[in-house]
Amino acid sequence: MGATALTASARPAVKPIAVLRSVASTWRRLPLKAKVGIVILVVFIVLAIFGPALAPYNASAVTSQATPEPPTIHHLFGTDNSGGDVLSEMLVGIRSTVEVGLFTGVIATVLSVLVGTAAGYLGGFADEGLSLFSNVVLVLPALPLLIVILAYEPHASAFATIVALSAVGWPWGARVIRAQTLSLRNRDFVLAAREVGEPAWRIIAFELIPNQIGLIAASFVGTFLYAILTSVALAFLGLTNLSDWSLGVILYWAQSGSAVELGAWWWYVFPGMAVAILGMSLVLINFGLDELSNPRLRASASLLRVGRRSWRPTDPTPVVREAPVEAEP
Amino acid sequence: MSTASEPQQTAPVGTPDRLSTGPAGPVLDIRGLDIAYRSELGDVRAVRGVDLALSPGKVIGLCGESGCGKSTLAYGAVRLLRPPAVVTGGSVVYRGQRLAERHPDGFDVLAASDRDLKELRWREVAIVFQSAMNSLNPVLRVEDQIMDGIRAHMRMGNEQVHDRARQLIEMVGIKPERLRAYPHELSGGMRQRVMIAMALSVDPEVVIMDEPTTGLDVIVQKEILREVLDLKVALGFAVLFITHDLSLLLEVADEVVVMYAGQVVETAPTSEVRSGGAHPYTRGLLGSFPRLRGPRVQLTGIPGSPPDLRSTAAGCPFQPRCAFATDACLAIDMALAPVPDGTPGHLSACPFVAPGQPLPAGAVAIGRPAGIEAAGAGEQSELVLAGVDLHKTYGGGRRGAVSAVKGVTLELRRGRVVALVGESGSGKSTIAKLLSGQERRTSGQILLDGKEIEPSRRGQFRRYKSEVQMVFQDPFASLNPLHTVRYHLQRALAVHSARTGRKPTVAEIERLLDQVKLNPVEKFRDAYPHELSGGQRQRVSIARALAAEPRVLLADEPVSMLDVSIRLEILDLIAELRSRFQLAILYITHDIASARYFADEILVMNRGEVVERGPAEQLVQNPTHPYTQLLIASSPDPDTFASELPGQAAVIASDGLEKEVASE
Repeated sequence: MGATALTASARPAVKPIAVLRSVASTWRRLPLKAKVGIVILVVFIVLAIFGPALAPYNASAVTSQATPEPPTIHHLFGTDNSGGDVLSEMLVGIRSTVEVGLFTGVIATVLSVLVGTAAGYLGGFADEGLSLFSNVVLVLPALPLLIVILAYEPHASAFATIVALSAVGWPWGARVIRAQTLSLRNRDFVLAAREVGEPAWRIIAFELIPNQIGLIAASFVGTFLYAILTSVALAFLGLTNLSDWSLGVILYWAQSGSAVELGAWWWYVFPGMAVAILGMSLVLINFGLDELSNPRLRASASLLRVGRRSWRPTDPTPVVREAPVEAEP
Repeated sequence: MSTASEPQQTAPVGTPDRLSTGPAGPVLDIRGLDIAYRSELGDVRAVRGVDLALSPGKVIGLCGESGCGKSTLAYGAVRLLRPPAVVTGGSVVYRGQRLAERHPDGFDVLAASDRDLKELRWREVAIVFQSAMNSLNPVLRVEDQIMDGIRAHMRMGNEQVHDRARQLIEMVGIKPERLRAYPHELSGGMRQRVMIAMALSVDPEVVIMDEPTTGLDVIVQKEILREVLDLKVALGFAVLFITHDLSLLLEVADEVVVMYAGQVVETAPTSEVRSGGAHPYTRGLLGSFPRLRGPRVQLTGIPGSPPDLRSTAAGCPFQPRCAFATDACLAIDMALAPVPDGTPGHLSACPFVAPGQPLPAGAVAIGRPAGIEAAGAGEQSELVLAGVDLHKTYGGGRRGAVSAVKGVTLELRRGRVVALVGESGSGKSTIAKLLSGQERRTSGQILLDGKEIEPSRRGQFRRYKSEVQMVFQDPFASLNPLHTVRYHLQRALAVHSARTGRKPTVAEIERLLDQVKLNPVEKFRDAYPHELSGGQRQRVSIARALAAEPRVLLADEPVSMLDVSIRLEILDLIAELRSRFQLAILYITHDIASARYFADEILVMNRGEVVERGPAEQLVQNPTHPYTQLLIASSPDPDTFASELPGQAAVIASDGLEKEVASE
C-alpha cells in the first residue's frame, strides 16, 4: 500500500525536460531526512569518482618514518606508521568501499526482485522451490561463511568480495518482495491484466514491479548499507587484497599497527567516521523513503497548526471561526 | 437508569419514559454548521451551513452521494474529525437529561473542552462507525470488548458489568453464550449487532449510525434495521442514520435529510419523500433506483457528476445536472424554505420546482431499459458460452473442503443478459472466476460454441480471452495506478490484434473511448486513473474489455461500488453495447431490483446452488422458491414500505442464521 502511494504520484516521463521537471518536483516533496541522506551520499560518490585524483600524496608511498604523526597542516588527517597520508589513503579507499556497496546493492537487489516476484506471482511449485532456496541461504550464518570463502583466497579482489556478498545478501529482500507480490497478485488490476491476456513476464515487469518501486528502493538501500558494513568488517579482518586501499583496509593497518596503543587516534577515527557517515546517509534515505511512502508520517505541519500550538491526535476537531480561505481562481 | 452517582443499581436497559419526561425539542441541535478541509489549494467546504435537529425516539435519515459531506457532518458535530478538517462556524448544542442540571442551557459542543467531550462521546452520543463490524479487536473476546466500554464510563461492580453485557447481547438478538466468542467466529451480521450493542452499552441518548448495514446482505440488513427500530422504541434514543441508499431510509427514517455538495437540499417527513420529494436532486435519486414492483418503468437517473467543493460559485450546486435548470438557479442562495402546499416540516432549497411537477419535455431521460422491448424475441438466439453442472470445491484435507459451487448450469446467448443474483458467499463470483478461466473448476464442463474448452489451460487461455472478457467490481482497483488510460487500452488492443486485425493505434484507442462515451477522447486518452471518477474508470474498464472484441462479457457487480446516480448510466452503457455488438452478458449482482431492470433471465443462487431461474419479469413478480421470496421481501424498495416477510421465508431466515453460526 505504502509503495503504491509513493509511486502513484511519480509519473513516468519521456522527454528530457519532463524528466528534469519531475526530478525537481520529486526533490521538493522529499522529506528533510532523505534530502540530507542523499546529499551526503552524493558527496561520497563524487569522492569515489574523483578521490584518487584529489589525493595530495601518493597513498601507497612509504617513507622511513616509524611512528604515526598527528594531524598537521601538511597532513590534515595525520599519517600512519609508515608515513602514509591518512587523508590520501581515505580519498583513494572510498572508491573501493563505495564500489563494493553499490555493485553488491545492485546485484543482490536484482536477484531479490527476480526471485521474489517470480515466487510470489507464479506460486505453486515455483514458489515452494524458490522460497525454500532463499530460506536456506537466509539461515546460513553469513559472516562466518564469508570469512571461510574469502579466506580461501588470501588476496581476494574487490570482485570476489562483491560476488560473495551478493550471494548471501539477496534473500532478505526476496522474502519482503515476495510478500508484497503475493498481496499485489490478487489486486484487481493484476487480474485484469491477466484477463486482457497479457503474458506472465509482462505482468511481472509492467504491473507488479513498478508498483513495488518504493520497496525495491528501500531494499536496495538496505543491501547497500549491509554491503558497506560487511566489506569494511571483512577488510578489517584482513580478508581482502590489502594492497588495494579501502576504508576497511586503513582500519586493518591501524589495528595491526597498534594505533590505539600508540594513541594515534587520527589513524582510525577519520576512516571510522567516514564509514559511519556513509552508513548514516543510507539510513536517513531509508527513513525518508518510508516517510514518503507513508503519508501519515508527513502531514503538513502548517495544516496541523491551530492557533499557536499544533494539534495532537487526541484533541477534538478545532473550531476556527473565520471565513474560509477561498480557492485561487 | 444508572448513572455514575448510582453505582449499585443494576441498570435496566434504558427507560422508555424518557420520551414523556425528556426536555421538549431536539436533543442534539445543529445549526448553520460549517466544516472545511484546509488544503494548500484553498479550503474544501465539505459542510456548508447545515441545520439538523435530532429528537428523542426519532430516526433522522441523512442521505447523499459519496463526498456530499454526510459523514463529515456527523463526525464534525461531535468533533471527532482531525485536521486539516476544521469547524468554521455554526453551533452544536446537546440537551440531554443527564447533563441538564450542569448545563441548563444545553451543552455547547463546539465550546467544550477535551475533558467534557469525553463525557459526551459514547456516554451521551454513541457512534456505530462505517464498516464497524471490522473494527472489533480480533484477539479479544466479544465479552471483554463490550465490558471495556461499560467500565470506562460507568462505575459498576464486576458482576454487574457482566450482567449488563449479557443483557446487551440478548437485546440485539444474540445468544449470551456467544459472548465467549472471538470476532472471527461470528458472521458479519452478528459482528454488526455486537457493535450496536456496544454503542448502546452506556445508554446514550443519541446514536449516530454511519452506513451501519453497508456490506451486509439484504436479508441480514433487514433484520438489523428492524432490531434498531425496536430498540429505539424500547429505549427512546434519537438516531441519526447516515446512508447513501435513499430507499433504505424510506424504510427506517421518520424524517429524511438529503445533502448535496455539503448543503441540505431537502428536509422532509419520510412520507413526502416516498411520494416523490420536491427538490430535483431528491427526485433524481428516487428515479435512480430500479423498482421491484409495478411495471418496469423508464428510470430518469441523474446525468453528470458532483461538483468540486472548492468552487465558490454562487447559486445552486446541482444546477449543471438538473433537468429543471434555468439561469435563475445561478442566483439563488440555497436557503431551505417550506414547500408550497407541503406538510409542515417539508423544506426544500429549490424555490422553482414544486412536488410532482413533471419533468420538462426537453430533459434527456437516460435510463431507457434498453433491450427490454426485445425481450423474448432473443429466445432463440445462438448459444455462445455454457457452463454445465459446474462444481468448485476449495480446500480439502484436514480442515475440510468448502463447496462454493454445487452443480450450476447456465447458458449465455447472443444479445441476452443473464443475471446471477445472490448474497455474499452464494458462489456467484466463483462462477465468474470459473467462466473467465481465473480458476479451474472441480468438475463440470465449459462449452464455447458447443465445444468443450479448458479456459485456464495455458495454450487456450489467450484465445479464450478473445471471446470472453470480464469487467471487475471495483473500478478503483482494476486499473493500474501507474499506467495511463492509453496504456491500458493499447495493451488490450495489442494482445488481441492478431485476431481482431486492429492495430494498437491512437485512432483505435479513441474509437474505444468513444464507444464508452468518454468524450472528448483527447481529455481522457492520456489521463491517469486517479484523475478519473469512479464512473469514468468503470467506462475505461469496459473499453478495455471491448478491445478484444469479445462475444461474451462477464460483469461481476459492475456498479455496486459506484454512486447511485452513476450506476444507471453504466448499466445503460452496458445495455447499449449489448444491443450494438450482440454481446452475451452475465450480470452478477446482489441487487435483484437491478437484475429485473437490466436482465432477460435471472438465476437466483443460494449456497452454491441455483434455487430458481426464469425470465426476469416473471421471476420477480411470481417468485416460487422461498429463498427468492425472502430476497425480494428484504430488498429495500421505495414503493413498498412495510413489506413483511412471508411466514414461510422467515423460517428459512432464522434457520439460515443457525447454520451460519454452526458452520463457523
